[in-house]
Amino acid sequence: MIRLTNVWYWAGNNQILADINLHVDAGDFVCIIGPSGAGKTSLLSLIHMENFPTRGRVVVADFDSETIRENQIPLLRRKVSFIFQDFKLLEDRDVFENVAFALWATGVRRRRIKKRVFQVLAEVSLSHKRYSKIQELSGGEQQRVAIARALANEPFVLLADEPTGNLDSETTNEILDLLLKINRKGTAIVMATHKEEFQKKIPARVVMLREGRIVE
Amino acid sequence: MSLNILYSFGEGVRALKRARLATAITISIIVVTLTILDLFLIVGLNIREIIDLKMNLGVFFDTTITHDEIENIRKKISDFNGVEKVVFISKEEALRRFMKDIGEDLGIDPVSILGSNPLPKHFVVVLNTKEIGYGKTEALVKKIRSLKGVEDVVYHNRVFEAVDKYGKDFLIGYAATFIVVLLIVIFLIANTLRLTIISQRRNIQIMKLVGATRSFIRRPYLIQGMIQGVVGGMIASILGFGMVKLFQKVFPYSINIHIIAVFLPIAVGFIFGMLGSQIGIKRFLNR
Repeated sequence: MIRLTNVWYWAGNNQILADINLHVDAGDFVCIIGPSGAGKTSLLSLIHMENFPTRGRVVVADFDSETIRENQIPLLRRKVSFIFQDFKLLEDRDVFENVAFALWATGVRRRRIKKRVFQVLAEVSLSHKRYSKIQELSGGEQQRVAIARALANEPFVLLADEPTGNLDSETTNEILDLLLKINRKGTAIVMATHKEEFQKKIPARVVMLREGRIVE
Repeated sequence: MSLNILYSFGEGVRALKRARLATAITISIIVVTLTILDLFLIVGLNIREIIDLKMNLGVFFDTTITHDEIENIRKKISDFNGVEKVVFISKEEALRRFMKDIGEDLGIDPVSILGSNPLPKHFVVVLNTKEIGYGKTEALVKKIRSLKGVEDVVYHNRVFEAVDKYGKDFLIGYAATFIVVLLIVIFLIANTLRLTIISQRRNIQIMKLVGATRSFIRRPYLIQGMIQGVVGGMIASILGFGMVKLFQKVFPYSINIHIIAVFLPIAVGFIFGMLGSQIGIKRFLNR
């Protein structure tokens, strides 16, 4: 489903990733653990095709980094969702509009959008806050909105870049439980984190990343 | 597709409501710049009219001239290059115009004072300045003077000479200045809308990350720019109209408002509202 083969990535004169080989199958939960600057975010950005490898190849389902066209990237991102440490929500819109946006963008009909938004908000236990403004939500709630938006288009993989980086320990556990629940329903998850204790908390395949290389 | 366009329009309007202050500031800048442009245009068009009005010649005949000879002169003058039309002014019409010029309510009746109408019949020769050019009227005057039966050709000497000498240069200069003002207005509108979009760069980045296509992201911003441009243009048009009316109440000048002065601000607002947004958003979509 996701395959990185001999991937090298340079940003300017800095080598960020070196000879990365990684594959993720449907329904996997992969946890990429490494300190800050190890290249975790860059690795996810290559899967999301925000960046492209300097050398090597990234294949995500039918999308190949060597052949993908500019206008195909939005199609990839509808099936490979992303959640971030800083949530990246549209702060001038409410919860409903944030989740609905991902569906509007794919041309889903209004009635179907409403139904689907209510459905995913229920999955992340935020139905009661559907018309709240983003600023009125706690960090954990904002991350759950981001997860709901990521799930709206039924992606086959969810990329999570330090999804608990801004959250306290109790909320962190809630978000991890939610990600596990999503994974059990069949969505693959690739999570990047610097918290090594996560390998004990979640039953995931762990990939350790150090200075741009996979070390175990 | 139609659903998406509907969404884009709704989203464009909602975006204006969400950022009320920014919208108000943007529209205000558009209104100010387009009102200046509109007034500049109105003044320019009226100066052009004034110059055109002064480009009339009065052709007076020998006292012994016959009706046939007058007709003959009319035909000859009409054939000259640069003559738009030749209007015959009878003695009665000349008197009527004179009375109108000095003001009929002064209680002066020249006929009763002088015993007869002293004003001569003549032609008013209307020149086509576009055809003849401002610099060639003197040659035309000479040609008309040389016709048999013509005693004199008169015109508003100083004004005519000034217009004759500098009219074309003035209009060219004014048109050039107008174009500069237009370019400044376009730059200001486009830049204001570009700045509005820069403030939205985070949202644009998020939209890209959730899989929105370029056109899906772009459309609401273009509609937003278009609405701001058109609303700004309409207000500028109304303001321009109102200011001219106010001016006319205070000063005894007649100013015409041409249809182009009503629609130009709206058209500029529409086109460059969209274009400014397009320029602004292109930068972020290409990243």
